[in-house]
Amino acid sequence: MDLNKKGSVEESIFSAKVASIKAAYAGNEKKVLVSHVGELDQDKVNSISTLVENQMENLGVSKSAVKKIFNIVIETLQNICLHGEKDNNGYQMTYFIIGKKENEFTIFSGNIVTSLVAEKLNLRLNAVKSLSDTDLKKQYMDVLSNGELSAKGGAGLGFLTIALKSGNNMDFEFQGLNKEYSLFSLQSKVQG
Amino acid sequence: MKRLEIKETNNTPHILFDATTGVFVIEGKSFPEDSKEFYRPLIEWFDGLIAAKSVSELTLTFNLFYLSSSSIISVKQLLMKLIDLSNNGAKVNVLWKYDDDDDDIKKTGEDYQKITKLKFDFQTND
Repeated sequence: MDLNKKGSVEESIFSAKVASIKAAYAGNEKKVLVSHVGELDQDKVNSISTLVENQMENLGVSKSAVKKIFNIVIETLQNICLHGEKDNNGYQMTYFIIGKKENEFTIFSGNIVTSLVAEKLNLRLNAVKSLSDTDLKKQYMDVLSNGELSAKGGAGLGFLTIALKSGNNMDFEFQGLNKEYSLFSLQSKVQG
Repeated sequence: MKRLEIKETNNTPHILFDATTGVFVIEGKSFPEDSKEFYRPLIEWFDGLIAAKSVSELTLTFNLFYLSSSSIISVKQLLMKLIDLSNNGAKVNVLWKYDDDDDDIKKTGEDYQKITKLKFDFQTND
């Protein structure tokens, strides 16, 4: 798999996804506020999160909405850093976009996962999505009470946090890139 | 116990643990790339303090503006050390400071209080 190779099947699927998200934010009262396509590391997590905070403050978004968005941004970006697969050349293809439609902010992210991880994520996210607000909080407290960090440093709280902060307004999709890999796309919404 | 101080960065909080002056503070934002790695020296420092059995009273002050989910687990593990200290007979308090309009951080403190049953005092920043 060569994600940087223009015109490869994998690259075409990835680019089409990014283009379709951006296209949905063309026009009146809509805007792409933040867009990052390419590799991610902790330095980029820091710079993107600072940019998000500044943009939100400039737009006059309420402090509580800024906090919710900031939470989702960090959980999303750190998830990708920890779990995003790299291609044959060690290139980690990811996208991260925040779109604003009137008062609604949508945080989009995508990264490459193996088919096996895609299956697990699918189960996990469907389970999280089916929870009521009360059950989300209950599960969050259970993990907080008993949870420990995994070898990779995951807390098991990431998707629960995103679901809680977005009022469980969260969607996801897997697009097969080839036999081994899929593009995992996640989006969540926060009202400003 | 040797003083432990870690300077604040863009994504990690300022840490100061000083048994001589009785100052124990964690303040700032916490979303390190590797929470386990960042909080390990803090937890080990408390292990040393527990082993030394030299502290009879301690207040750990938190003043945080943001905690990532992995930091939330690491801070809980640090608080478990305070429970050990308390079980050894020390009088342990947590001072949980937060910005007046920051319900998220306040709620995180309340969650910790519920789980650890430690004595928490809540205080808003001026």
